[in-house]
Amino acid sequence: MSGLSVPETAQHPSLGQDPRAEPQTGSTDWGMMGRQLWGVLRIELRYSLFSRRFLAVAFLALAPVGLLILWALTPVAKEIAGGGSTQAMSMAAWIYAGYLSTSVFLSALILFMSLFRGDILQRSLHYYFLSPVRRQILVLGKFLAAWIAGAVTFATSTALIYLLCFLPLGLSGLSRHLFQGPGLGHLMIYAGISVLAIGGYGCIFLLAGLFLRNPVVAGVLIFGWESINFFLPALLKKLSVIFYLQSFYPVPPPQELFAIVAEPISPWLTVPGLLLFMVALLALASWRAQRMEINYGED
Amino acid sequence: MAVYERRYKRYEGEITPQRGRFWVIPRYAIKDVFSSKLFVTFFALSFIPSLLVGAGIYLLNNADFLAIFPELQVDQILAIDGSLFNNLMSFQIWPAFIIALIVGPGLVSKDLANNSLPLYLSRPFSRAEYVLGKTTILAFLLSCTTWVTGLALFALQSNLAGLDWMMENLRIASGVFIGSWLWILTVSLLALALSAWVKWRPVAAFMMLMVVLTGSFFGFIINALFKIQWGSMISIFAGIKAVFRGLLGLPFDGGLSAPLGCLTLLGFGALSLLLLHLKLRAYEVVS
Repeated sequence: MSGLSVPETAQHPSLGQDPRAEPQTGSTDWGMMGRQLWGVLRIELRYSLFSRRFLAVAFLALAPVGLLILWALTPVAKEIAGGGSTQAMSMAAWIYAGYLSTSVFLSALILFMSLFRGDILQRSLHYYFLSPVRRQILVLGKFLAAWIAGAVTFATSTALIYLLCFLPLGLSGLSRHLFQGPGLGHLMIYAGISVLAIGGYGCIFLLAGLFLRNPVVAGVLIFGWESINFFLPALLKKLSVIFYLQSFYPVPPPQELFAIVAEPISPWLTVPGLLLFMVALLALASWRAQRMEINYGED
Repeated sequence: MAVYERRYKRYEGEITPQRGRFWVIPRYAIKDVFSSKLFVTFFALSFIPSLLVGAGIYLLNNADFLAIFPELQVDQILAIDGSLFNNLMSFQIWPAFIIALIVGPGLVSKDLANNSLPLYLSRPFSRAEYVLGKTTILAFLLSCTTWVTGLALFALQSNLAGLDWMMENLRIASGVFIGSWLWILTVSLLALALSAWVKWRPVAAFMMLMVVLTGSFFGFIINALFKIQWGSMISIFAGIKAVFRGLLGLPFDGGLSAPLGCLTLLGFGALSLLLLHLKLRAYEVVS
């Protein structure tokens, strides 16, 4: 995994400003904080997109796309061709449900758990901590970089999956569904769910990476909790990310055998709710980062 | 004796027997594993399902308890047969997997990251013994949550229901034992192989999780799109479930067949051994 080089982090023009230059009036210099955030964001975005860990994310995002292309090209019987767009919509719904709970979940885990753990393992976190940058800005910058990288990747791959599900209908059928039917709206909603999912899960894994030495175990437990969500009573369902994301589904995926159905929450409440949840977890992560001391010997 | 008089002297103490040398590794590692309170807690929690089933078996064989509820249809509530043991083992493979996920990724990676493999292999200790020693750690931990508890429940039911029940259901005991060992070996070798190739413990753990979860999801997609069943052969969970169904005498459910399930697990095990063979060297050429 390629790491941050010492001079890059320590001597970045935005990060390397002398703290003594900060005005002593007690007022917050928003301009400088913005420049510092931009500096961290740029470094981390490059790190998120051009490191080996991104290969795993790309595989998770694009492998289902590859399978669907293979399916579209091979001469297997496709019920969708006869069933029309309704059947294709239902197929897109169940593929997307699995995609969300596996590919998006795992990608969020690898992108966000390594934001701090990766730097600790590479023994490069102290370069950031020695820079005159507030830890809150560091947390926010790292989070935004991973979220942007994940959001761009998964919004694109989700759109590709959706389009490939309709390919057996032919290009005319696809364009009819997109521009004369509900297709374009559904596509945007699915892409939006992926973006929200990456952010929602990402906050949890960022926090896990700050508290735990092996955040993957936390990931397994959260995966288990999210997987049994359909089985949980209505009150407990609300303690999961997937429940809120499911309320956006334009076409509900097939229900599990023993599923307990709960009243879905209005999207008008879900989006601000998820964003507030992310802000709360980021605040907790910042608090943790502020009190963090590095001991590379422990790993 | 003056320092300059100290020279090489052959070790004259007691030598560990050749056959039992691999035990040195688990002897220290297991002590280390149980020093983590979090792990001990999880390990203890993993026995809860078996304890619940044990309580159920005891109550359903208890005449005093059944006398309180005379209208109770025992067979309809909990039939103690292959199906019950299949459900139990299908559940217990998850805690076993999580234990392997916690312990496994650090087993080989620490030795490789700290260049300590030559210290093992410069002694009269082969690579096979090293792998056997490391596998024994996981085999011990995973055995406790799988076949040991499974056979303990079988013994409890045999004790309460009598010898006739035991003789009629010997297939359950053998199924639990063989299936559990297939799972233990597959998961242990997979964990060791990933630990050898990925030197960072969290990343190795992530890779292990990714292999398992993406295998299940992609297998499901392949089956659904191409109208086949053997797409699940990329999932070790689908493989072990098929093996348990076959070994415990349950009817074929239309998914992966027991031989294909067995082939899946053997394939993963063989691939993991190959990866270990390629990576575990007493020396490493740094280019």
